[in-house]
Parts: sequence; structure tokens; C-alpha cells
Amino acid sequence: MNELHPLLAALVEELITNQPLELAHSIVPSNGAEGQVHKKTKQLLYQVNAHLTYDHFVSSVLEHELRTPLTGIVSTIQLLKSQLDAQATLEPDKLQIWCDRLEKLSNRMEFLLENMKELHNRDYSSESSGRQIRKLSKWFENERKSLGELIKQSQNLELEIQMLDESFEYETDYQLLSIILGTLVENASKYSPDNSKIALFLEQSQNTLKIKVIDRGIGLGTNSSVNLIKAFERGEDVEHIKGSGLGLSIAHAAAQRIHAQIMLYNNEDVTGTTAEVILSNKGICQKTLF
Amino acid sequence: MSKDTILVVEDDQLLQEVIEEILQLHEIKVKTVGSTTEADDWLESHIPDIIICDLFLTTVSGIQWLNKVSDRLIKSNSSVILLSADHQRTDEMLKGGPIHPLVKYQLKKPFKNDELIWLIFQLQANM
Repeated sequence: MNELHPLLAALVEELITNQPLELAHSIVPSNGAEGQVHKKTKQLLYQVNAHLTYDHFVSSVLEHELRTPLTGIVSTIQLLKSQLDAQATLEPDKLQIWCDRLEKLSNRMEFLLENMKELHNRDYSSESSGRQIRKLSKWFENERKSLGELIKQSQNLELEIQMLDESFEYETDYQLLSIILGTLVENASKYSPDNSKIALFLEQSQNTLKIKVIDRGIGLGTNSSVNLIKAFERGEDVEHIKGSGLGLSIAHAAAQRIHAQIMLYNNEDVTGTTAEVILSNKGICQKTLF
Repeated sequence: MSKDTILVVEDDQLLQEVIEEILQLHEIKVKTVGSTTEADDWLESHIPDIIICDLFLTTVSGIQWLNKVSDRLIKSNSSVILLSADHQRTDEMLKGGPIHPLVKYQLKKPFKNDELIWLIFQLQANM
């Protein structure tokens, strides 16, 4: 029999030893006691749900990312085959281009599969799943602990909130927003030296709402922000840094689902990168702004 | 402006090259672009016969961009072939959007080269 996932094992253990003392609020609307669950059981169920949701999300993004190079490989082979079937003379230059392309596409698939291993180790156990209306600044503050676990021990995470209105409420899928922020922070940490600072800003102006992750790392090189979003492309001089490419793709896909945009650019005055998440105006709950 | 070109909006450069080669082998006039900005620029002075568009583009989804330029495409009676991995999700994303009636086919990656060509010929025959 397969070994249980650690979360499921904890849940089973919890159910076996469940004491009906610390009852949480009902998760199922009901008049009877059957609607109530032990607080820790509820917490574990949330964690299992978050993991399953995240795994499903990653699978769908990964599927798309893998299908793109696969399409290139399949179509190039078909082109080659059709030329052979037609007994057409293949120019050596053309043949070389096709071989190079097949090699690049295969390398990309391998890179994506390597990234999968990294992503499986990620922990998204947030209780906030689905669309919710929440105070954005409070949510941002609450993320500090889990984000702190994604960076190197010697690095320092600083949060700054510049809101016009601290009680500002925003409707979005906070689990996806956590994935985006977590990925960007993890990425910033990977590309930054030890003992460096990673700054996070939540900024609200009259017409924009954005989250910025600013690092003092190696920057993007000459790559543009658009290229870096794609899973298979990484900045220059970063071959020694494991993973992260697919992570950006995951963040990008999550951003598309909540109608946000991610921009990456080099810092102006100092080395490093700024990752900017521009949040959609759709989720704004106060009519006084924007 | 003549309407005889197929616009391919695909942010993967290698896949752009492959599609371009497939279409050119069948003497189909094709323009490939890697971003919606490039596509917008091209649309300023050209009318596409058909647009082949990837579902996930770099800054926006293919459907978001197509909805944005839908007025122009409806006016020119252009057709759309969407490249996607999940038809059900794509249908949900398309639902209610102005581009929906113009999306004639969804092609799942990886596709057969002949299938792509067949769809293009079908669309051109019905125009």
C-alpha cells in the first residue's frame, strides 16, 4: 500500500485521537452536533484542501507548459516525415535547423520536468481558498510568516504598506495571490546573495494597486520582463541556480486567473530586480477609490 | 488592405517558426508575432484572414487580448483558431465574450500539421 501523505497521516492520527473538547465553529450549516468538527481536524482539512487545490493548479499549468515544446517536437517530426515521404531533397541547412530545434525543445521539456520536483516541495497551507473580501493590508501582514520561510536564513524580509486607506477591502482569490507572492519572493531569494534584503511593498495610489518585491540580486541581465515570465527562459548568468523557471510560469498563470499582471524589471539605481504585481481594479470594494 | 494573411500570435518563438514553416509549405501567407503588442501594431495596417492564437500569452491570456480587439475582427469578419490544452476551461473563458462567435476551432496541442491545414482550408472555403 502507498504511504500516506504526511498531511493525511496527521489527519488520520487526529481523527483517531480526537477529543470532543475544543470544538471549532460549524463548517457545515447544521442544527446538530454532526456539523461540528475538532479545531485541529478542521485546520488539517483546510491544509489538505489547499494542497489538493494547489496540485491541481500546478498540473494544469504544467500541462500547458509541457504541451508547447511537445507541439514543436511533434510538428517538426511531421515536417521531416512529410519531406521524406515526398522524397524531397532536404537541404543540409534546413536539416540542421530542424535538428537544433528538436534539441532545444527536448532540453526545455527536461528543464520543466526538473522544475516539477522543486514545486512538489512547496507548502501552500493557507486557509484562505477561493474568492474572499478581505482587508488587503491585514492579509499582507499575515503573509509575513509564510513568506519568511521561503527565503534564505541569512536574508532579511521587509514589509512596507503604503495604503491610502488601511481598512481598504479587496475581493480576490487570496490563495492564488499567496502563490504569486510566494513565488516572487522565493525567486527573489534565489537570485539574491546571502545577507541581502528583500523588500515587499503594498502600494495603493489613486488609480493603481500593486505589490512590489524588490531584491538586490543579480538582476535580469539584458532579458526583457516578457521573456522571463516564460517557464523555460531564465536570466543571464543563472545557470547555477536551480529551478524557479516554472515557478514564474505558475505565478503568471495565477495572475491571469485573478486578472492581475506581473512585470519584472531591473532596479534603476542599484543592482537587482523588481517584480511588480498590478492588481485588477475589479476586486475593489470601496467606491471612493479609482 | 487585402485580407489574405494568417496572423499567428504565439509567444514561443520555436513554435512560431514551426507553424510558419507548415503554412508556408502550403503556400499560405503568414505573419507571426510573439506578443500582443506586436499583434496590435500589425493590426493597425493589416486585416487578418484568420488568427491562430495561443491561449496563454505572456502578459495577458489570448482570450483577453482577442476580446480587446474583437470590434476590429468582427468588422473584418476574421476567424479565430485557438491553441489550447483544455477545451472545457477555454469554453468557460470564452463564454459571453465578444470574441466567442469568431472562435471557429480550438486546436489541442500537440496537433497534427495536416489538421491545422485542413481547418484553415475549411475556414477559407466558407468565407
